[in-house]
Amino acid sequence: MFNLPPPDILLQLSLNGALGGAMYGVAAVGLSLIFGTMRLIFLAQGAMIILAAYFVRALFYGLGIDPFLSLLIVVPVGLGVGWLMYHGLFRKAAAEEDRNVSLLIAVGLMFLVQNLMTVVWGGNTAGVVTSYTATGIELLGVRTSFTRTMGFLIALAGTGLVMLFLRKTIVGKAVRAASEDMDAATLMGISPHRVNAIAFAIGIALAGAAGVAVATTFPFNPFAGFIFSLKALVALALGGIGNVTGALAGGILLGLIEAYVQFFISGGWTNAIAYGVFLAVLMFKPEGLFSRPYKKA
Amino acid sequence: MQPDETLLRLEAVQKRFGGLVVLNNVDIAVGPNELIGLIGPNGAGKSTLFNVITAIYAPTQGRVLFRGKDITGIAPHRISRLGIARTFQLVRTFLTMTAFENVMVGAVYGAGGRVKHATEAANAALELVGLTARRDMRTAHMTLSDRRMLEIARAVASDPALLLLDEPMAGLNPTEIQRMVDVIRRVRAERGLSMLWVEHKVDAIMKVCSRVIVLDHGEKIADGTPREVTQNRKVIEAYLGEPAA
Ligand SMILES: Nc1ncnc2c1ncn2[C@@H]1O[C@H](COP(=O)(O)OP(=O)(O)OP(=O)(O)O)[C@@H](O)[C@H]1O
Ligand SMILES: [Mg+2]
Repeated sequence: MFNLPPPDILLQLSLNGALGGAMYGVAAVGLSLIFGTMRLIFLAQGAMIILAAYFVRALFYGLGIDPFLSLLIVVPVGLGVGWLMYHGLFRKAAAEEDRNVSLLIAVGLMFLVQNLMTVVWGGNTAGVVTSYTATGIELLGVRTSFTRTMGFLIALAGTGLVMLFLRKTIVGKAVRAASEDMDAATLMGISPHRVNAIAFAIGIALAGAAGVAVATTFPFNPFAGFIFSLKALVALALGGIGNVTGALAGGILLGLIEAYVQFFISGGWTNAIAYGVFLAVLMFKPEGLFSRPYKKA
Repeated sequence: MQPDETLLRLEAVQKRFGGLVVLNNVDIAVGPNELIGLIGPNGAGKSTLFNVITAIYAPTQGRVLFRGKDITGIAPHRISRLGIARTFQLVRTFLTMTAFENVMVGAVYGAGGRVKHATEAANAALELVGLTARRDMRTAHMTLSDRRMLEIARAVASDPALLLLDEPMAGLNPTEIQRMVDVIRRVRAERGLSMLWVEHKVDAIMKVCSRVIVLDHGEKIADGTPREVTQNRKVIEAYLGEPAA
């Protein structure tokens, strides 16, 4: 069917796809956490990532803070913003059985953030250019970009920390319990508002980390976030909703699919095929590609 | 029983869903270390009563008092800290977690956020229901019977004064049912707590409980010793046509 290209090109493609896809993955991990406890698809996640990217850019050009170093600022700020965002915007709606109000708040927030960014920074494409932006490094015998590799490592570290938190800490276990069965968890003394706020705090902190990766890798504009949310949603579906490692893996898989489609078919098909895969997964394997089914009670 | 000794008191509790009256004018008092059987035909309102006690539903009329304090309409996550724990008719253990992790959630959050001695409390609760050997098994891989035991352990780990059991024997075979009877007796004896126990296996209730309450169509139709209840005409009528459980 295809003329297979030489192995080194294939490797190059796969590497670039995986590195880029990890960014969808880290966005999806945030979506997964928030969906887990609150059953809300937080559509503003992409806008928060772009907001973080602008913030990173401002720190760099305004204060001369290295973008990767700014993780130390962006991540704690993200935790705080997420916590406040839950209590300020979602707390009341979360008490309702119906999630439509919460969803509309997320959509409203997305548009507000997009337009505020346009007012403050203009609608043009922006970017962060550092001394190492054009630097390449050798990885698995293939040349690739330094910033993309860093973005990948950030995604890996972010997901790893979230996993550790969920698996090893008692607060993390409470978040897992609430994600599985909020009513049962509530009757075990877990406050729904508490776990929702924790999910938001971590979700926005991850958006901050993803913002660093985006700012150093891609040019961006205030409206780029929505596509990011959609791609994260695809990654989430691929990985299995509510499965944190699956979300990262789903992002990487989506990156690979995009890279292959771009190379073997054409760039114009990338999004169409990504969303086609999204629908196909939801129809035929809604539990995600990586989840082992377990028997329900 | 002194009035101030009453642990749980329901006063004229009514619960309506739209036009459907599911609980009507229900008065119940539970004393310390009592084991009370709660029976009634399908749809009588037994699970709804538990949901009202645990504040999942607010009653449309009436009050719920615990240790003399009005707890009607409080936030459900505060219920277990006050000392009320429950199990569910359809088991609701956390499937992605191990038995120990499930019980730890109860030992920490259920007891109001304690950290000290939580591990000991969790291990003791597993021991009490005989699940020590399955401590690190993921709940998803456990049998129904073990999961029902685990729910009891998770509840007990929160150190409740009142334990609500919603059909802990549903779906169990005779051997498992005997094990469950033993565990219920042991929990009551060793922890000194009170229990309200909903069950369709009426014979088990009559053998184990010294007091039985009967609900029918949301009304309390009997409240007394097993002998009194089985001779009650209303109870016989309510159960007529019901298969002998
Ligand atoms: N959330 C709800 N909305 C509307 N009706 C409800 C709700 N919950 C319970 N009901 C109704 O209330 C009645 C009592 O239900 P409940 O589950 O309390 O009965 P039960 O005594 O526990 O029965 P079973 O022995 O079958 O478990 C039923 O008619 C049920 O359909
Ligand atoms: Mg019931």
